[in-house]
Amino acid sequence: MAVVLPPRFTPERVRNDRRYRTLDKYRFIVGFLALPLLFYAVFVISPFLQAIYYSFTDWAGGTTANFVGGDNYVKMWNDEKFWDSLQSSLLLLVVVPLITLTLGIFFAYMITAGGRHRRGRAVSGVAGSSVYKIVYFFPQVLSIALIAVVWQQVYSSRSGLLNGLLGSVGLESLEQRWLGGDYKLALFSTMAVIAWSFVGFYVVLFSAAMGAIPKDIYEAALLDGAGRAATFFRVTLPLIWDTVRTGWIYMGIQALDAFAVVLIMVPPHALKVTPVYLYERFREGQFGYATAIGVVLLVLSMIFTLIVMRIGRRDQIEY
Amino acid sequence: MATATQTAGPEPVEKQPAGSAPRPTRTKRTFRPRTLVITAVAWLLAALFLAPYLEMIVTALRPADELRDRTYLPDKLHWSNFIDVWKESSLGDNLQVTLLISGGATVLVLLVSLPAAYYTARMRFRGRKWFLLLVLVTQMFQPTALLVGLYREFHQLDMLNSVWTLILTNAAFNLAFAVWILTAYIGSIPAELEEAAMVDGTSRFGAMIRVTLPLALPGVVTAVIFTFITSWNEFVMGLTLSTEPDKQPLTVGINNFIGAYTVQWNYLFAASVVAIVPVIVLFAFIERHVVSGLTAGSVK
Repeated sequence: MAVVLPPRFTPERVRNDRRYRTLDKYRFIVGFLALPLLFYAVFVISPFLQAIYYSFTDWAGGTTANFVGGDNYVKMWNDEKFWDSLQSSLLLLVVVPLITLTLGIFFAYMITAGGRHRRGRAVSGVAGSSVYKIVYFFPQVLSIALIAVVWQQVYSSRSGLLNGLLGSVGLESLEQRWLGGDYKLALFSTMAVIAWSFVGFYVVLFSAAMGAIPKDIYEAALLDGAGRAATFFRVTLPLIWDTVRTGWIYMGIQALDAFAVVLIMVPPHALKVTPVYLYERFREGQFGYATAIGVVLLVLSMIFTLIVMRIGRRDQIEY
Repeated sequence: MATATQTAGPEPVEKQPAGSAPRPTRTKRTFRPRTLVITAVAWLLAALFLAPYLEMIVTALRPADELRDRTYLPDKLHWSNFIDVWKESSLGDNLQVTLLISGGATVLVLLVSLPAAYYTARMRFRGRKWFLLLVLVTQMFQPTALLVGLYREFHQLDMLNSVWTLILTNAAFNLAFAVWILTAYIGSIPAELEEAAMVDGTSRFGAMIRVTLPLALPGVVTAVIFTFITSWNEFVMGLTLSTEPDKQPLTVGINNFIGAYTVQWNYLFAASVVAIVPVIVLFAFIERHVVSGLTAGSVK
């Protein structure tokens, strides 16, 4: 690449000489874009394509991988345990974004517009809003593996923080085996942890989006006599809708994955999600079957994305 | 996007300019119930977000014989947990692996993403839209779904259990985000500045290094620290692509504690504290850039 480089691009040369311009262009393309594209090809695209291919084989980790057609998919179709895990995963996919985004939008609105009305201000944030943002954002920088470990201890039925807290305020009757017992309770506890770890991210994201809305729009709404609720539903929400939709898709995919949290935190007999089911097949050496499950997961997240794009479509509002 | 970056600084958005508030408004500063309720709820939530960390630190300092007790604070703080966990496990190796992975992946991401972002921000080339779309779409793939494909690749290359494997995968996973942030940052710096430098006789490369790069520094720092933090925290690939306990990253090493017959929570959490301190320190550095950095790509 460095062989045929012209010595220096003086302005006249760049402007007048066609060859220099073409060379300049391709030199940039080769040097700047080739590496990242190569990276993508090798570590993202190729594993993805291989996954599709091996999902049609009976590869078990050795050198042979016989093409078996759709056998893995047929097996999946008849696999009760797969359907059970998928049910949990789909519930996470639907419920978690709803909880997380609602809380995120609510807190963000409180932080950016929940303060007292001051003179000459249409909206004002609560005092110390930046502190809250940092505190809420905290779980986002923590490894999901550590989050799962900590919450496992918090939920622990014998020495856990949660049961200890309930006991100390006289609510012993509410103490539970949060994770190890009932399926619904385990699912709910898992949702709470995922929501807990992501809410802060959305508070920060949405308050930035809300901060970008010009103040005079709020002033106009205030002049027209809109209350806080009306301002929120008629002004704020429509104006940050694009951000909400992006966040919705991202959160849904994260919730569909939920791998580390469930694998580490929840005992396998109580609750199993599809990625954990995939991982178990992978550990057993059923690589072909595991990739088939992976492909289904990818297809599901694409369908989810398309649906959200579809029902979330609104007129673009420029401001 | 420009407005988002401006208003989203760390200081409270609504600050009364000094002296602009006349005295009489002061008398209105009575606490109304609603303000009180909102503040109380906000603090309660803050406590909810911080409690698990407190639990982690307290347990890390708890002597082993008090683990089953229900008292919240241990009788005496047992600092030696930190030393014991170091001596009795392979966590020292795990920490070293994690440092190598995070450092390596960060350097690699920076080397690869910066030119790509610069090019994408400055040039209108054929396929630019496709490139950005590719970056976005691949960001959507769950690592779990790519797991077997990656395992197969590194198995064929005979690179399982190698630090390089994890450096490369972490770099690849973080590339999209880095390119995305940096493209937005560099795009917000006027190209005229570079043209001026080129008219003054520097090469395009020199203009990039000496003009654009210093101006894009906050974005670069954000991308770097973000890559470092995500690689530091990565779990799934560390778990699957390396199987020997002393070649696994810290997050996996810590979870190996749980697989043992009884879980020694005090050691587990002492190790966890070690694992989160660097992350929190780094986060403190970029905290003011986080908002603008995160929203650079997504908000407008």
